[in-house]
Amino acid sequence: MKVVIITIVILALFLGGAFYFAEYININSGKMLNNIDRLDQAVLAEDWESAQTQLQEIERDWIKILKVYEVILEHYDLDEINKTLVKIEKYIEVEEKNLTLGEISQLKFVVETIKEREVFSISNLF
Amino acid sequence: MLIMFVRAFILYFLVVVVMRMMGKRQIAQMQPFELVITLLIAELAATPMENASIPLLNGVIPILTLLSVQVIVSYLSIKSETISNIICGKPSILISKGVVDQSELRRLRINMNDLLEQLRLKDYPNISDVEYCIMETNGDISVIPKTGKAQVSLEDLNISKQQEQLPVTLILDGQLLSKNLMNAGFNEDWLEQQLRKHKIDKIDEVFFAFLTSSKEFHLQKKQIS
Repeated sequence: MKVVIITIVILALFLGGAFYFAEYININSGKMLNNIDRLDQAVLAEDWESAQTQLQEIERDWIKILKVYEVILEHYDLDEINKTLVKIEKYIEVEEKNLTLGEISQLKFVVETIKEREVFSISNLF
Repeated sequence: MLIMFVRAFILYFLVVVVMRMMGKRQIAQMQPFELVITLLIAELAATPMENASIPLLNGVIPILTLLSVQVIVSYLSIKSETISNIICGKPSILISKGVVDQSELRRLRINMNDLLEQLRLKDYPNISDVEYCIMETNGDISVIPKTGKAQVSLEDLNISKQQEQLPVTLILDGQLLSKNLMNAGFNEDWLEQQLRKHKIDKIDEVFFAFLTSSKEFHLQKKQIS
């Protein structure tokens, strides 16, 4: 009976944790996508100072959520985001518009993929 | 590499704890679904062990989930006959009153040669000696022989004997099991007396010592390597 109670508690904790982390990923991915959109606008307008500031804000938020993401998500996508941020930083520094926009699109795609993959849906189940 | 070492350590202990919580069954006695879960747990533990890019939780969560589901299903099987029949199935009578149930053999997809093989393994080479043969839910068969072919017991010979007790281990690899000694109704002075009869001075010279079902003391000394 003790084992049954322990396992029910484990299941309840997992369910609770799963809902919490799904919401956590949803909220933080949403915030990050908004920041990426603002970065995109700044680069399109060739406002490199604003783009630099926006990128730094994205990187600050990313470092905070990465600590949690590393524990619950596979590292391939996280490594992809890290690589893309490094590239964007360099391209903004040299004021290379086209390449920056390309990398920003890739970054947005990866963040959206992470968000969609963690949603509880039929397509993710199967 | 250190990361893989630590992950292997963590997953090893997790699997040991999970297997203990699932209960004690030999592989051959497991229900089919229990065997499947055991194999799944092994696979789930191996994947994050060898790939550091996969979070440890990707192995831990499915393993613990399987444990939880298995324990709950087992518990419900005990409480409900219906659930037990759905999960574990029902025993099937293959031979009833000495007659082979051909429709049951067909239903279970067992041919006559398989049945004869299983009966031989149970020491019944002649099918005519078998009154009932039942295929249990774990795939093993149980045989009830005809009256004249059953093994003779003490009761048949009108021999009465005192009920045997469990054998009790007293010393294991030089370590005294005090609780067992006390439960058997003896103390250390008695044990030392027994050891002296075997020309042994110290407990740690003994590899294995036990009391038989009829309370006789036996021991084996440690080999000097």
